[in-house]
Formats: sequence, structure tokens, C-alpha cells
Amino acid sequence: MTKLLFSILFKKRFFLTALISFVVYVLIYLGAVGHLVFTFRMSEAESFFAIKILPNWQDLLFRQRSPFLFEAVGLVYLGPNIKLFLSLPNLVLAAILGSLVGINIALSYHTFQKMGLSGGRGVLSLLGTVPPIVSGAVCCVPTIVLLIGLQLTATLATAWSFFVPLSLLLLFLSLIWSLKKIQTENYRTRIL
Amino acid sequence: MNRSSRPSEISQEVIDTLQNTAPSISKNEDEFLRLLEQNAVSGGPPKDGIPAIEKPEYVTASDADEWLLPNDIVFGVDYSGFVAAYPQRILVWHEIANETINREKVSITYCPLTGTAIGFKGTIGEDVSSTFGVSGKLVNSNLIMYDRSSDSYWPQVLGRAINGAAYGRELEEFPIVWTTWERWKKKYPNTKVLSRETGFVRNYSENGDPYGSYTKDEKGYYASDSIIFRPINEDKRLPAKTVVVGIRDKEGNAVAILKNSLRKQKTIETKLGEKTIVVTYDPDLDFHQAIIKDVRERINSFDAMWFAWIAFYPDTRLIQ
Repeated sequence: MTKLLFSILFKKRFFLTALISFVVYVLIYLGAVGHLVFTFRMSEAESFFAIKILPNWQDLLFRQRSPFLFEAVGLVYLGPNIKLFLSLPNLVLAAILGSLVGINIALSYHTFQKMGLSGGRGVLSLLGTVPPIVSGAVCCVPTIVLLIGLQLTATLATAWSFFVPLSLLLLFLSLIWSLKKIQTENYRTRIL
Repeated sequence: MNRSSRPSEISQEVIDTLQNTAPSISKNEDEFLRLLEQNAVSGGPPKDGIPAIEKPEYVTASDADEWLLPNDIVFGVDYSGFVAAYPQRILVWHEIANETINREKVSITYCPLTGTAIGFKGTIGEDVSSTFGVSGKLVNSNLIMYDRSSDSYWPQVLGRAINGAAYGRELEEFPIVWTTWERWKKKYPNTKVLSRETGFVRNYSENGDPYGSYTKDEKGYYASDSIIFRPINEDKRLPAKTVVVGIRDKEGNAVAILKNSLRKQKTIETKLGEKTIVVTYDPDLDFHQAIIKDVRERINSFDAMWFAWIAFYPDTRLIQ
């Protein structure tokens, strides 16, 4: 299956699809968890490009702010009004999730090309991308609770802490499912 | 309530001291405190997931002018010769700033979900003084602090321990002024201001408050009627987020004054149990001061969202 996956990703169009999806998803994810922010007031711009690392970064590196959200240990100013909060575990998480999302979308594109609508499950495979985006937390509560005005129950609070692993699982299953479908289709085509 | 990680500085001696000098608590009080403990829920972040500011650094007013807006909310402290402003946009991310004033431990606390800013002295028992951290739990949407000497839990609005070795004890308070940067600076031009160098990186910018905004028009959580965590007691006489001036005493008497009414009337004289209190509005700071009339002694008064106040003090008298 790995061979099949690489053979698809080595094709330029699928690779680009995966790459663009990866970048877009990583940006959305970092924005959703509050690690990529825009400030609107020019006077707050501290620098066009600068990196600030906290002196006690080692103490904070793996400190959790909420489930699967870790302390930022530094700040990158990307232009006058864009800040990227540096949290190594969250950047790794973003990369893993982004890769899975990118590959899933590339595979959906591939199956769509080969089999048309019956093979494309783009929308379905995107479902797994949602939980991490709503897993962000503000000070006391999950961001999603604030955004849609939910009343938070103990059950929801517990479920919330499983959003990221749930997403990883969904994306991984989706990936396997897509590859199996392509494999079967390839086999069927060869027989015919 | 699960209290998994106990702070390392807890000593058995402190626990024994607190337990041996435990205050007497009436049956009703006991039931209420236990009810609060049973209704404490996780807000999501773990203990200290919201980090208190342990060693606050300060900047001058003119330095703060570079990034604070005139109508930004600040929590002003004028206590024992110590004058400082704590910007809401910083404290919204930390909820507690532990400070030492004249060798006395104090904590400046703010709960965004209930709109309450209260100053506490660190004395939790005889010869036991402590700093506080954020437990990650909430009751009636209100911040539950924990003390680092006994790991007891203290809902901020109540200022009283609902479990642990300090169970039933009350914290002494000092006034915190909820006002704007412009007003505070005008009254205290030499004030110092909590620095953005907190030891953590957060979005302390103008639009950084994740709950909404108090500047210009209220937005987000502050403007909506929705309450995230169901309170123990509800009372629909006022919209949930209406700001009231809350005053309570150690006997459990409580009164809530509609802040807009106080703004209009300037002075309100009312009863708090047997005592007569006089609440005076200060137009310069848009804040208030409450005095027990007979003894001319100040009693703490603070702004609170109505739903939170009534949840903790269901028998409160409301003055509209």
C-alpha cells in the first residue's frame, strides 16, 4: 500500500494537491487554536520580522494549556501584523494532521479522476479534519463553545479532549479506505 | 472533585495547622459549600493550564500608553501605598497575578466568564500565607482558585474554601477598581502598569480577548445572554450579563445594586443584614465604594454579572 501511495504522490498534480491542502490546513489549524493571529492596530506591530524565544522555554515546552494544546515558547513576527506562536508539539501535530489531510485529499482527487463521482469522497474525507479545528481552547473553555453559544456539559467537556485523537483516527482510516479502494479498482481494471 | 496534582510546597504542618484551627460552620453553610464543590466542573484546561503570573513585572504609564488604549479596561490597585494597573487584556489570559505588597502576599484575580475582579490577601489561616493558582475548574462559570499551601479550592466570587484543609475559611479582600486606562491614569498619573512580559507568550493585543470585547460596543460572550456553564441558582429578574455591584458580609447577607442605577443616583443607602451601608459612585473612575455607616468602615464591593452573583447569593436583595 505504501508503494501505491508513493506512486500516486510522485505524480505532480497529486503532489501539488497534497501540498496545497497541507499548507491550507496547517494555517487553518494554527489559526483555530490561536497560534496564528492577526493584529489590526499598526502601533502594535513590534517588528516586520523578528523571533522572540522565552528564556524559560525548556520549562514550558511540553506544558499543556488544554488537551493537545501546548504552551508557546516563542513568537515569530511575520510582517507587521501577523504573529505565529511557537509551540513545538503543536507544530508537529499540525504537520501530522496537515499531512494526513493533504494525502487524503490527493487520494480523493485521484479516485475521482479514475472513477468519477462514485470514487470521489472528498467531502466525506474532510469530515475527519474538523475535530482539531474545534479543539482549540481559550482561557477557560473550548473555542467552539464560545463560537456557537453552547452550554458546556461534563460530557461535552470530556468529548472535547478526544477531538484530536479522534481526528487522527478518522483521517488514518480514511486513508486506508481510499488506498484499498484504489487497489481494488486497479486489480479490477487489470482483470478486465 | 479530582485534585490529581498537589503542589509540591504543601507541608503536613500547614495542613495540620489549618485543620486544628478549622472555623465552625453552620449546617446550611456546610450544605452550600458542599453543593458548590459537587457542581464544580472542568472548564477544559488542566490545573495551571491557565498560568497565574507569579512575578509580575511593570512598566511606566508612558510606556503603557504605547500599547494600551484609553478605553481599555484595567483593574486598578491602590493598596498599602502600592498603585498599579492590571490590563484586562493581559489578565484575561492568566486570571491571577500573585504579588507581594509590603511583605504581604496578595493576589489580583479576574474571572472573564463572570466579569469579576477581586483582590485577595494571601492569608488562609493563622500564620499560613499562600499564593494562588488556577485550578481549571469552574462553578457557576466562576474561576476556582487553589491555594499552593493546602491545595484547597476557592471559588473567586465566594472567596471561601469549598474543600481541602482550608474548608470553610474566608479570604480577606482588598478593593480592586474596574475602570478604564484613561480614567485610572488621570487619577494616578504615576501608576505602574503590569508588563506584557509575563513569562508566557499570549495574544495581548487589542483584539486578543478570546471572549469578545469591552471596548466600544461590547462584543462576543460579554454581550450575549448565553451562559456556558449552568449555574446552581438562576433568577430572570435581570438579563444574565447585567452588571451589578455586589456586596456581601461574613454573615452571608448580600445585596446587589444595578450598576446603572448607582451611576444615576450617585449614592444609595441600604441594609446589609442589620447593618446600614452607603454605596457611593465615583464618576472619575466609574467605580464605587461601600461603607458600613455606623462604624465608617469600608466593605468590599465589586462588579459582577448578575447570573453569577445570584448563583452564589440566591437570597441577595436586588436594588434596581
